[in-house]
Amino acid sequence: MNDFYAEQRQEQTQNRILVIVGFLGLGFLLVLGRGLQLQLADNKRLEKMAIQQYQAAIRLATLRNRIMDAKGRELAISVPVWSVYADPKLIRNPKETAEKIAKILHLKSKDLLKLFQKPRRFVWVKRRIREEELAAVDLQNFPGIFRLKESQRFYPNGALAAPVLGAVGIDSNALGGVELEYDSYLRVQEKDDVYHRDAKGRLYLSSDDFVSSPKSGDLYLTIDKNLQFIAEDVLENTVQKYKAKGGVIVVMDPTTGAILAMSNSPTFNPNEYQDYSLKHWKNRAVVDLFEPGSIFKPIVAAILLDNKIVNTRDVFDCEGGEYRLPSGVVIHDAKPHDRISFADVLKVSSNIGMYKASQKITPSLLLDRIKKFGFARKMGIDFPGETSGILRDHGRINPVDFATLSFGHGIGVSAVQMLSAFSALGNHGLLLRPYLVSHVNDGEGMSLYRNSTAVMGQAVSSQTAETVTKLLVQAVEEGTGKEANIPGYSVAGKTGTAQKINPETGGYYEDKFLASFIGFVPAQRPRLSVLVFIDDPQEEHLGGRVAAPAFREVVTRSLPYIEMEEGPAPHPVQVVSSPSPVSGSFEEWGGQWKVPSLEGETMREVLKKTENAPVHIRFKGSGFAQRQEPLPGSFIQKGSTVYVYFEPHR
Amino acid sequence: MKWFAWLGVCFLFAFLFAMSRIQVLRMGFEVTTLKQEVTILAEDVERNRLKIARKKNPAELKKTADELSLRPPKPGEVIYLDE
Repeated sequence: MNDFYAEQRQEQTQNRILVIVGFLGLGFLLVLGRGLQLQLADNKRLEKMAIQQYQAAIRLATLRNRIMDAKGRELAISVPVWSVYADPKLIRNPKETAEKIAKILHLKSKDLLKLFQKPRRFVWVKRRIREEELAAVDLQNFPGIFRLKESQRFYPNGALAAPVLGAVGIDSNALGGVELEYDSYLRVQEKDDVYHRDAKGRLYLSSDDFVSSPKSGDLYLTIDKNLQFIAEDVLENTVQKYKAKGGVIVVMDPTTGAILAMSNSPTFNPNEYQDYSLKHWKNRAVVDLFEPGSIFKPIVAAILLDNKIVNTRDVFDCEGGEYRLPSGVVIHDAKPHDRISFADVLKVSSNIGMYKASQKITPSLLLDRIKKFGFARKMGIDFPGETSGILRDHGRINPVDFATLSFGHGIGVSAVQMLSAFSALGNHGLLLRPYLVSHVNDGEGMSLYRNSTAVMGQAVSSQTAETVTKLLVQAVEEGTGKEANIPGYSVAGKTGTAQKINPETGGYYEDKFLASFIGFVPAQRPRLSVLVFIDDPQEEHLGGRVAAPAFREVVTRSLPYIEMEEGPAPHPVQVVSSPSPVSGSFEEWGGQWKVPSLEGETMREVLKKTENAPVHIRFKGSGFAQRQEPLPGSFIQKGSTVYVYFEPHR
Repeated sequence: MKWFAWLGVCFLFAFLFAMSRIQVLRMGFEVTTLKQEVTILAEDVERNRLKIARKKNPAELKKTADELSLRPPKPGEVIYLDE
């Protein structure tokens, strides 16, 4: 009997073991199957979940290289700063944390609480906080509140050269100016935008995660900080004195095309760019169109003299200061004159005299020669948004337009275009490409990019340029530009007073003017060429009264500084290349490669031109090459990339 | 005896290997610490550069110069001395 019960118990025990083993086996198989499913199946959702646990994609302010002036003084510099973020999942008491942090960081606790209640693993609390704020946050050691290192762009000189420099946004993205134009050189890139989380869920980025782009380096401008300050100081004083709407002063080295100063009014402080409207950002010297008025007369005079259509001794009847054109339109002179020589026409700035002289040239020839001075096309300055200007085609120009063109109306020019053209008269007739960036150096001082003087063409002969220069010296010493006269220096210059266009009527305002002065100094071997535009000055509007004194002050303050920096010896006239230096293929110059002009070429032609050069070519668009980076005439290193932008029409 | 010798050599290699790994690890930490120090110093350099650049802001310099009755030289006032 006992044996029977013993057997029954043994059988029950074995059955129980079998059931348990069966369940365990089943469970094991289920786990194994699930494991296999997770491992083998392409489960992107799970993969994403896993990555989210140890990575976070955060857009941060990345590092940027410095922008320096021509003498290596900082104009823009990036400095590491701290930002505070929260992981709402790790915050224990959101309300209390929000209140305490709000107090330290001067934020609204309600807004913070809303942030802390979001179902996310990352929210910014405050970016770019001060050292003392950071110390206070650290002291409290709030759970779920962490800090991250970022970079902030500072412009140590405040508003100095702001429209030229541009600005960068909170994520270090370039917003304008040379910051934007040379972004690829300035930006120090991260390997990716992904941060890693440590065991406690905090984000970290090791120093190895930053990779300096192979062509990234400090940018050196041609702008001289002190000359820039002088130009801005004079411009601001002039604008305030005449209650003007704004103005522009550009200073250039006429023998190289290097822009030494470019000041704008109004302007802005790039450290607080968000407080200014876009009109303050504009670099008017490059992107705005002006009707030049009488400062354009030397260009027309040079063309007439160069074509031997007029002579400086030719006499013109200036009709007592008022002359009715065959179309009925009446043109006036500021002061009445009768029969005067062509030299005096320029000296006294007679519109009637210039009109009569220009009637001796055909419109098509005049327009073609004006284009040779760089008008009606982009000068290729290394700045975004350059205007090409406006000039009517000879088929569409009517007699009145042709008449007014002779004294600088009916044509739209940029300040930098006007100054480049005028500087050609002081540089043996050679038109040079203006440029703002001198070179880019990497951290070890190796040159990554070098800009250089590029001759765009021979606008007029050297002899004509010399003749016009003499006439311009007379215009300053005895004519309308007396206020620009500087004892000890010979100034070649010209005043301008242009009525402003009324965009509503298409005509001209009776009482709004653009006062201007343009000149170079010393006249025979120029070191500086300066253009002053004052927009809508009040009380006084003549260029000779408003802009000429500003020119004189800029030069009077700049020349001694230049002499102190560079010594008294005048520059030799520098012609570093032939008048057509940028055509042809890439040429090697002392270990660097000179970029040819690719404008108007097809992709096949571009490839042919570049086949022997050790550079990379990148195409954008299709059709014919319209623009390129770097610009023609630039020097680049072996292995650099040249971007060529194509458009369907030539 | 022979086996003891082999065992001894194996222990020696294992010991040396372990020591070298420890050394590598320790040097790794040192390198990381130094890298962090370099980063901190480089950041300090940038901050100091910013401070100096701010002090050299021409607008600020002019303000100070005006307070001290200093002015830039006029044309002809710059005199060069031969060495």
